[in-house]
Amino acid sequence: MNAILECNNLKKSFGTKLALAGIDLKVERGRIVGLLGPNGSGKTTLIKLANSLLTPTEGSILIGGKKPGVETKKIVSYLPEKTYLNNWMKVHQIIEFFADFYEDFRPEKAYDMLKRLNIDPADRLKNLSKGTKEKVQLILVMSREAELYLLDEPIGGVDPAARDYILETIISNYSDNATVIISTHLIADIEKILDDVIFIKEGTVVLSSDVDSIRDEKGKSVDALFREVFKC
Amino acid sequence: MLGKLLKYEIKATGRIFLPLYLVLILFAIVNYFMGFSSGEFTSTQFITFTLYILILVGMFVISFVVMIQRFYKNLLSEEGYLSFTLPVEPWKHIVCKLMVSSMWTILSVITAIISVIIIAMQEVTLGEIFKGISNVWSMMYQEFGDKLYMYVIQVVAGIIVGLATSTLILYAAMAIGHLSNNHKVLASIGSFLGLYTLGQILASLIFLLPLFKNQKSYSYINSMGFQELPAGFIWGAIALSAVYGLVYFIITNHILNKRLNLE
Repeated sequence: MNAILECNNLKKSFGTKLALAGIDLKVERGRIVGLLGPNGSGKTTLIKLANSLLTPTEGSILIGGKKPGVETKKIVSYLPEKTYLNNWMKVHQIIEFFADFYEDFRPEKAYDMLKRLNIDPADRLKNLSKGTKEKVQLILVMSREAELYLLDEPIGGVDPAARDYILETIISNYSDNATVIISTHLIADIEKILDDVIFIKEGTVVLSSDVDSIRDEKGKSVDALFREVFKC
Repeated sequence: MLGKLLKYEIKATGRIFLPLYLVLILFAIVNYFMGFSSGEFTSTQFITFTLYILILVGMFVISFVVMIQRFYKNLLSEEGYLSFTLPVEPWKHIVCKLMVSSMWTILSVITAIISVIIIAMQEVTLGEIFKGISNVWSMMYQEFGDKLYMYVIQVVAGIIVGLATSTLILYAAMAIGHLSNNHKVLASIGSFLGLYTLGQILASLIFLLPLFKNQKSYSYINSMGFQELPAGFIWGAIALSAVYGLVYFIITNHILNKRLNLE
């Protein structure tokens, strides 16, 4: 079976600044992958390229063998680091919106999670706190039965209790065949759920490995290895 | 998918326009009952009429603001993260926004006309108004003959094309301005002025150069009234405007496809 995400010599520059300096990468199906790196290392750029929010300067990026476009958007569920909710809908209306546009969206899942997190579907999006908005976005994204989830800093803005629930949600809501890529620098919090890690630094991949071999071969936790690799 | 986009675009904007239309019609009805036209204004009549005019003007200002704001906010600011990850080709977003904003502009004009008719009805009956309109039509028909139909078609085509092109130039200006990293608004205004000036210069060259080349036809055109203006001239102007619209659309679509630069 083909890789769900594949990058070949992927480069992206903004003017003279090189954000990605030739990434070669293969992510298999059915994995939970941590995309780890310090701020400005190119994590968000890579994820935006996978969503065709950016176009590569050189090289290629493929989702399930296809270039990012309408077909890949049907199978990719993306959580950006920004709040993209509009200010005129109610929570239940944005759920209907998602159900209208994404065939793989399961409204019952979304309502179930809203209930667990005590969010009222009748609330207006504009009246929600920043943290609640992030929770709503994550619920929307995880209520799809996608093949690839791209989560950019999914736990940055929420409290630790919600953080645990969200991680649990991520693990329990994806099927065996789906891959979840989580970008973050809060490694300790997510280490226990990861199968693989990708370390990215100044636009290049410095390490791509499964978590077990890091523990076995290097005798270190991912967090400790991260601190070592990215030592300032 | 275009249908679904249209549905949500109409929902997002309808909640602004429908109440506005309702208020305008209500104020027209209030003015109708106040009966200001016979004799002098009382101060209440003056106030209600002024309010009506303010709402009327405000309606068109809001149409313009909403047109810009929907495109900028929904596509080029943070909401763009959702809009552009929907499984929809970017050109459909442009077409959807263009269709809905044109629809509201046309409905605003229709609502304005209805409100004027309501106020006018205190002086004349509805039947008299329609009679007046048909009188004007037959007078014009006597003047122009069958050409009148052609003029009407030209006016309608000109309005539709003009509306689309003047919307698309703003979309293109915003798309170009959004490429700037620091001064998006300023760059958008600059792009608009640039596109507009370029369009005017090109149009002048296209229409005037052939005339200057041939002095005879220049003075001939100059001596003509509107009636004798060749039909081809008006159609040419409409076609040129349509070409401009197409170019603005292509610029906008290219940027949204290949050069998107969301913050």
